[in-house]
Amino acid sequence: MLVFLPLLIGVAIAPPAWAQHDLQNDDLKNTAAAYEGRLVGRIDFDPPDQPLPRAQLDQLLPMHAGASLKLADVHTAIQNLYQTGRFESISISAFNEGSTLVLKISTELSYFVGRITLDGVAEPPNRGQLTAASKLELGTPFADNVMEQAVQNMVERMRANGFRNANIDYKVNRVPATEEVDIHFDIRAGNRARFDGVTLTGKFDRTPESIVHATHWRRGFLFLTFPGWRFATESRVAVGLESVRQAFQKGDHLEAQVTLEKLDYHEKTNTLTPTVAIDHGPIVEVRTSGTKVSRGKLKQLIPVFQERTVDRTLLVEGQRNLVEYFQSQGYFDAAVDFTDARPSTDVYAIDYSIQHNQRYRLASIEITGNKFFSTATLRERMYVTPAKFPRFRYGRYSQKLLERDKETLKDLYRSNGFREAALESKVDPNHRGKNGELGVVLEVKEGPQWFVYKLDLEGVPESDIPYLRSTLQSGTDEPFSEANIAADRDTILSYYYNNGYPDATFDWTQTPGAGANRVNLKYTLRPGKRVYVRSVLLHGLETTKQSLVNNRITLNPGDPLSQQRVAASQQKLYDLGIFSKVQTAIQNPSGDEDQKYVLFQLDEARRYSFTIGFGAQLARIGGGVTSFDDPAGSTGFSPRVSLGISRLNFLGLGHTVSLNTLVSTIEQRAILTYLAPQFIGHEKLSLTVSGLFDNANDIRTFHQQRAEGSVQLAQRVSRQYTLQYRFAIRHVTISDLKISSELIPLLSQPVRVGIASATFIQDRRDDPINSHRGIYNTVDIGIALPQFASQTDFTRLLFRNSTYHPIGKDIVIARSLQFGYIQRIGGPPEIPLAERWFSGGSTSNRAFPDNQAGPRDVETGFPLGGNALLFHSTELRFPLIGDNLGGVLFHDMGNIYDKIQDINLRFRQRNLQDFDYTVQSVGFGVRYRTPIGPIRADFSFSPNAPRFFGFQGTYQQLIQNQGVLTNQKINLFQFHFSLGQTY
Amino acid sequence: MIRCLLFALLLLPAGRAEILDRIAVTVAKHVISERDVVLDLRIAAFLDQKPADLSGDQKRKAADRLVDQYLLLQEASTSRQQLPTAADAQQLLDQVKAQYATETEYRAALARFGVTEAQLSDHLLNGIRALRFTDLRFRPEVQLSDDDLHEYYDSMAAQWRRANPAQVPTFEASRDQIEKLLTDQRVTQALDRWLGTTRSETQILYKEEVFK
Repeated sequence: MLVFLPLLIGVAIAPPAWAQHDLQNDDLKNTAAAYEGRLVGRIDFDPPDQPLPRAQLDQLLPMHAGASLKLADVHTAIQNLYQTGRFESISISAFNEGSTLVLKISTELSYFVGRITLDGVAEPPNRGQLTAASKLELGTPFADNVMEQAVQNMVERMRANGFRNANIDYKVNRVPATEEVDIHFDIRAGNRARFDGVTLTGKFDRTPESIVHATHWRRGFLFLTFPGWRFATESRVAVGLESVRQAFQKGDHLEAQVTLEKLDYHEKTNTLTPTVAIDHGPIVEVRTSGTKVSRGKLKQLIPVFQERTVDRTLLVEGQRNLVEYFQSQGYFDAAVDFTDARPSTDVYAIDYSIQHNQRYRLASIEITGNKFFSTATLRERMYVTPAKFPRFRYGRYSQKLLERDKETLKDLYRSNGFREAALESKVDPNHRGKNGELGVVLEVKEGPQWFVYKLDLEGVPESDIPYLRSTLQSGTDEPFSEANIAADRDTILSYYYNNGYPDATFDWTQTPGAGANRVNLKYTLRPGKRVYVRSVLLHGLETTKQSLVNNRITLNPGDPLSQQRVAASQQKLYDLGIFSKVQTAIQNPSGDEDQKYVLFQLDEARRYSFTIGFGAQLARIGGGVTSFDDPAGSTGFSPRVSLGISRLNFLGLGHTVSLNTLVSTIEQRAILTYLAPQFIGHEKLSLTVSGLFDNANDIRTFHQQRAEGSVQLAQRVSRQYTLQYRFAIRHVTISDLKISSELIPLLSQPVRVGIASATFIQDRRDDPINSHRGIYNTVDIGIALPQFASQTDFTRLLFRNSTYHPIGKDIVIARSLQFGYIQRIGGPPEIPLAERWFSGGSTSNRAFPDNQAGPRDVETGFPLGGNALLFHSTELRFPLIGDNLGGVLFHDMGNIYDKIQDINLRFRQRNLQDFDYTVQSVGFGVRYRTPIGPIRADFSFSPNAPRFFGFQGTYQQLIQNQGVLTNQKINLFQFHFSLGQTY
Repeated sequence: MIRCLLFALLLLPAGRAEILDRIAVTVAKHVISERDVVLDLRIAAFLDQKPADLSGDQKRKAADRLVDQYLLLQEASTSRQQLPTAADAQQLLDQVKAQYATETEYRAALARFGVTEAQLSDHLLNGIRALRFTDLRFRPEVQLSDDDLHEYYDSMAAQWRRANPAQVPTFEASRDQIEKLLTDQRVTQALDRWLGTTRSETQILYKEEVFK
């Protein structure tokens, strides 16, 4: 294949005699040469309509009308035109027209993959999987010959999912205007095949029945098996094989091989019989000697369990992991060795021998030699931690962790110009003469700090220099480090990529600068050709209004092609919540042209979504429903079921209509919501209209039925500030009163309330789920007036202020104040029961069970709610054990009061009818960190929990004043369990 | 010459288009045109002093050669290897010229084959650059053991024995020659493998109408 070798050898050894041969040959006539130097009169394109504007085409041609033709230019013209990617074939011909020459450039257009649609998809495989299988990528060049392979790949995917008779036809529709190819696949899936049995081959020690059961290919539920077999799908086959493998692995056959040998298809019955080859391999016994390690920990540390194979590399890795583990437990001198043996062909015995003598405690870490960075700055970057009770009883230390920390600190120094920084460590196993205590000394050798003397930017347009300099980390008198240069490189390239220079390149050089430890830096940028947006092409809209999508795309024809804006547009489309996939691409990505099409392929999400949930509440929610027992509630259990249905992208406007229902023994609720996000095109506005029906028993005093309609406009002013404007009208009926309604006729009447309200939210927390610093304020103001069809007139104010203060790295003090006030301004003389505040419990004052704070009926002891509330809570949040378990010490105080004038910070309850005092509680809680927020358990003790009169008797006796008053109390100890931090 | 051109012009009927050039093969975004292919055949014919065969088969072979050469030179352009320059090509050109008695004869031969000196020079330069790069890129990969050399010697010796049993050199006597031949063979094999892989990773499209 050294194709040029003969040529060169030919030159060297050619005999002199060849010169006398007759070399004339007709083929050698070079007729095109006759056109060399002729005057070009005109240049035509065939067809006249070309994908690029004529002016742009002319720029690509080295020859021009009125100039002499050079044949070399013809080749250049073809190369230039082809390089645009817009042409599949180019031919240039010439003919005479009078005394001049006419050049005709004939082209055939290139086409690019555009919209792909599929009909007849029977999941699985879903549309995405089938489209991916076709390997037709949006915006890439299209050739007819790829279709056969695309269909074959898709059919293969269908067959793997049980559609053995699947057929796929396709139609290709070329759109010359945009040079796109729309491809439609028509899928005739046929019937999906079922399994009809399993053939097992190989060596295994389990019964065939148990293996078949493990595959889950038979119909069944949990451990029950029903007659018949399931449908065959690709994932079911894979999961079935994996389940069998796991079943063997549970029996210590770690190296078990379970493979699908073949899938026999029976056309008559449309069924499949998998043949599964099994080699269960030896039983791998992993044991430890010297000390005990739990089975779970061994599985975590010895990689043979994960890799399902045994080899020396994995055993050595397991050995290292065990040493690391014991060192992290304080056994810093731990030594681990292992032996592996095959006592028989069926057994592979691995024995890890662990030796650890003394358990050490990392008593101190000392850092010396650091001048530039404070010790605290260095320590907060280290993973090695000295012993601290209770979180790290023995400290966190191992040789590997120490080496990692040294690298981290070295990188920190180097990124700040200390190019020769080095760290050395000494470990003292007898720290301060104390046996079992370890001391680590880290000696920092900072070396000289290097600075940039001068930074030159080459190739950067003058107009960009001031901006770029302001964003670069390297500059005059700034520390010189390669990390800074890498960051600058990213900054500069991102800037140019986002301004239409996709081929921008960056290089840098350094030379010694004036003065010691000074460097001259030169950044060289080659921006390359600037590319602009030719147009934006949208595909895949079926029900969604185009204007909705257009408003989210921030790219316009003529704009520089910015990757950042493409990504931002994609994000905005995802944010609408109506697309399951938003694919973006640049058409003709490798083509050398000034303007490019930006493509958006949108897959609309399913229009309906259903949710179902099961849960239960265990709290002080029990007690007799019709009796007067337990006014403070007794421990009760309430199972709940929730169902939801949502219609997404309603009317193609991106709006959502949803119905959510909840049924439990203490509450039945249905809420119908219409949500218009990004209302009337404003990204920061959202409108919610909702209707609610609620039948609730959660307040022990009464049963309420609430019907409510509301409309809310939310305005996100900035990341920190949100405003909500709301109008609600509700009708609440109260029944099953535990208080004599004759005694409080005005409190218990059915009432209609029309209320306009506004909420201001300021959120400056670092993390809303688990805040460490920041502030969270809300102010809610409402007014109910007859003009709003309200039968009772009042104003309502609720203010909440929470702040979070970090102490050191791990500890947080969080505090929260809530103040609320309802002021009657007209209508009936009292605020109706259902409008009053009921509070107390896990998010306000943990001295109370839920909704048990405040004034009570003096006869029955049931809570009456109030018109004012004041709560304050302080929490000290700290880590407890490891990284996931935290603790909380808290103090809560506050109460619900009948009137604002009744608010009193008094500690002592004067008598059993006095509720106008501040209930205090202190307690301890634990928080377990999970991906959905911390799980919370709080135990509280209240030294002044309220005591009050209860009533023993029937409702009739209550009305007739015949019952017996009893002394009741809120338990001094309370327990709360829920999700999320308290505030 | 001028008379020939005028005669050729007269032969061209007005309004009848003649193809000046068109795409023959594309290698990614690079075009090898029909004129490139024909020129390659003309130069090869000039150097071999044989009539140029511009048949479809020969055109395809020439196109294959040009594709391989392009792939190699592309790879060379991204390397930092020192490759031959125009001066080196000039030496080769001088060797070609030396085959002719006079400059006039040489020019006349070029004209007969429709090749300019600049085109010939470019052709030679590309050839020696590709050859040099092949040597730099693939020769270091070749590691020959004694067993390899002995095996190769045995196969060669068998051939020599058949041709002339009396003059079969010993292994030691022919070791250098054996080593050179085997190295060249291995380099060629390495190049073949590399070209096969690179071709499979590059979009190469042939326009069949050119090769009919």
